[in-house]
Amino acid sequence: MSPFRPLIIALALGFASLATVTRAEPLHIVIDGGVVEPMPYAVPDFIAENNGAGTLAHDLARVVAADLTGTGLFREIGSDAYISKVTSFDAPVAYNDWQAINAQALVTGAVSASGDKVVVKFRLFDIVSGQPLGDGLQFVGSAKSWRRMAHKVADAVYSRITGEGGYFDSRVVYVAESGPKDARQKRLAVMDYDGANVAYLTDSSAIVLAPHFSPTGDRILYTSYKSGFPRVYLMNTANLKTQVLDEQAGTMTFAPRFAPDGRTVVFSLEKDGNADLYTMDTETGALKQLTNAPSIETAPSYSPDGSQIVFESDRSGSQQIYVMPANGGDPVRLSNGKGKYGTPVWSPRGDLIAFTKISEGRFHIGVFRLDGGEERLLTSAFLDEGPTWAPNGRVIMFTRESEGSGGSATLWSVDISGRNPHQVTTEGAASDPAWSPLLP
Amino acid sequence: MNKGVIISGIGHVGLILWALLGGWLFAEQTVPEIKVVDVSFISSAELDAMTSSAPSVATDAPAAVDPPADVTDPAVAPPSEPDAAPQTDVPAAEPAPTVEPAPTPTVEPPPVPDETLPVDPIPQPDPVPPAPQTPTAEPQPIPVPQSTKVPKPRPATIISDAPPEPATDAIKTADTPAPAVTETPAPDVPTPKPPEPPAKPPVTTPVVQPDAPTDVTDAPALAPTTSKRPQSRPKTLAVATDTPGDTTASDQTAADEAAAKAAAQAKADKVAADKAAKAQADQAATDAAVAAALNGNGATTGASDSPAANAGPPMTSGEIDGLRVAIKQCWNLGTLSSAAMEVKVTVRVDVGQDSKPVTASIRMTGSQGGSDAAAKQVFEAARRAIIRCGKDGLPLPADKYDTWKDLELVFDPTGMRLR
Repeated sequence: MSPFRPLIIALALGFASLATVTRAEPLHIVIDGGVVEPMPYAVPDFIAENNGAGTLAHDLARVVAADLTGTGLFREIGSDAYISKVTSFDAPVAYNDWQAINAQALVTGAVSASGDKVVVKFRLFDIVSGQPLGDGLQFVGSAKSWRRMAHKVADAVYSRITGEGGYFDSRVVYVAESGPKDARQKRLAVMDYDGANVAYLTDSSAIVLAPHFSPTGDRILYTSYKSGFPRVYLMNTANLKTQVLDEQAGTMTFAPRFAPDGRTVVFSLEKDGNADLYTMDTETGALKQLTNAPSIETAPSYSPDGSQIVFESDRSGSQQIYVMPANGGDPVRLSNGKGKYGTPVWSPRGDLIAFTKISEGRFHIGVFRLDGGEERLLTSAFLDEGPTWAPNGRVIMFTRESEGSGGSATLWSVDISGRNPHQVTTEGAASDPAWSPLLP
Repeated sequence: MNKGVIISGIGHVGLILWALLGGWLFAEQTVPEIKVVDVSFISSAELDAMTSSAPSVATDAPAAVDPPADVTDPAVAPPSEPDAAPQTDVPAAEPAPTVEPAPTPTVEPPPVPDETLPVDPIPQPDPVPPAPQTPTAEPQPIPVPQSTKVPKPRPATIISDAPPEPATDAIKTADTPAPAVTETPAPDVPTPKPPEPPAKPPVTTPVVQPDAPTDVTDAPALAPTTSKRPQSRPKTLAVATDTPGDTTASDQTAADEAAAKAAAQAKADKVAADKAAKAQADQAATDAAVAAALNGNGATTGASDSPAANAGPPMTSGEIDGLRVAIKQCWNLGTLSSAAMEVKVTVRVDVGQDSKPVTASIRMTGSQGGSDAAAKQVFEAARRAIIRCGKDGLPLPADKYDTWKDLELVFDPTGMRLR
């Protein structure tokens, strides 16, 4: 072998490394994580475009801010920190001034009122990028609906920044409670998602339980002891007329829930001491039995596509969660953790199931995947139960009962990440919340 | 190929040559081995001969050798005395190279950025026409579907025709007019045009060419200037920004043909004359290796060569980690939807010499794992992170501008998604 061969090969390798160096490829870096913190934003008072809108201009901005901040995803920068004042809806945005106070988003708006007619418009700006975020929107409504218009503004802002639908323009039906713990009076009530605009749907002459909205929000299913036994009733929210769904002698019906088609109702029917799941066509009254087991099957909830039903059963000896085809069939157990599981509710997104878990003397609100995996407990308290999903599947509201004879029920909400648990303001004690779909 | 790279290459070659040939050309003359003899067998004659030969050894130590008289008496002169001789002013066997002070790098004025970031001029939107009055359909009550048909087999019983007193308001509540939602057309929102970058200021001082770090490469290349560590490359998200060029392809083909030809020739020669053929094959293989290396076949990818101005010294892992950590601190995932948390996006951004990202250059070049809408959300958050972090300049080594002037960042939130 030539004595120069190693030298030449070494030279070749040297040139090879040199060729590698000279490649014009970008510097490639993987950013595999970030921070989770509220986004700072500013919502100056809206511009009142006429004399009649003076108060609304402030109130609208406050509701928008409360909606956004209430999610835990945003942090409002107080007006005392503002460098720039928004004096006109069409004025150019001084991005530098807003960047200086670390705002990352800015919501500007204007409102005009003429008689009963209110026009609200807004714009959203990405302060960091120095450009508008989406087009401007305006809403027209009556003076009475100003809060809804504010919620719609907040929904639009939320949606543009997070990429998922909002949930502010929605309502919650619940059971308003009053009186001592051993003699509670209960009546159905409905309110905005944030506790405003409360209206009562029934009187307190009969105990009512577990209301649920129809997929279009125009009807409510609930259980009432009006007849002395629990029975499922259907209420029309437009005229508050109610009707009983099934009235077989010697039976009890409870835990009703609409199917996504808005026509079929699934509920538990107890006969001869045994409760099974049934469906009823609300137009024809046709009844169909889905389960036939000596155990108690209850708390059914449809998947968003209507193909499956998740429910709770004690067929294994303890309260657990199962899933089965919507027209009946072999149930498959989903819950496999330690403790008891109940009140499963399918997420509107279809990716998670929320539930109540009882373990080691504590109650939890939790979620797991559709196969029962990746269980996450979001809360832990003396008594948390009855989860309901926000329309966008991001937030869960539930009942929290405090301990002791003087304890009372309150409504709470929590992000599915487990962050931002907070109490929902209600008039007095409240339980059994059920979220409506997003209002039209 | 720029000057810096050429010099670096020459340095490399020199280093390799030194490593390979240093032993032949520059090795110090071997000192004759000292004969080791067992003392117990030394006769007086041998001792005399040994002492008489001492001066010849001492010739290597020209000055101040002890007088031979001291060693004439074997009883007095310990055998170790000759070892003491080198303790005198014997010059070092190999004079240390004179260390010339490295030329002090001239402190150049701050580089004048080629592209100045816009100074956030306040956009001057076109006068926004009054928001078009949407068909002011007067607020309509929420439509109430008449779906409360009484089931035929078991007619439903109307429990209560008259709602409880407070419920009347509830009806009103339900009748809350639905605000008419009107998407105002684009004119409603002035979309400020991205401000044109200001014209380059007149260059009054020589603009530093950062891609010619002559000061660095002028220094003796005693150590490799490039790391053997391969740059991390995206496995799935990498966007092929460089496509093999025709020139490279043809060069590679030529190299391959040369190698094949040489191999074929070597095979033929083997039949004819094994010895000559072997030598020729060796030569051909070597030539092929050199040709392949020069054409870049030794690289791990087939990407085409690019202007050498884009190449630069590699960043250390510490420098890369510093940049990664900085951007992580600016990347807020709090507002990302759960769908967005499952999307990886690849973002390219140009960075000025002042280490500030060029906002207008931030672009998404790829995504993986979700819908376009989700990817857009991740990208927007990533863009905000880059701009926020780069507001005062990214933590980048100024002398490696060629390396980081074009960044490809893969934003991967999947590790932080809810489980």
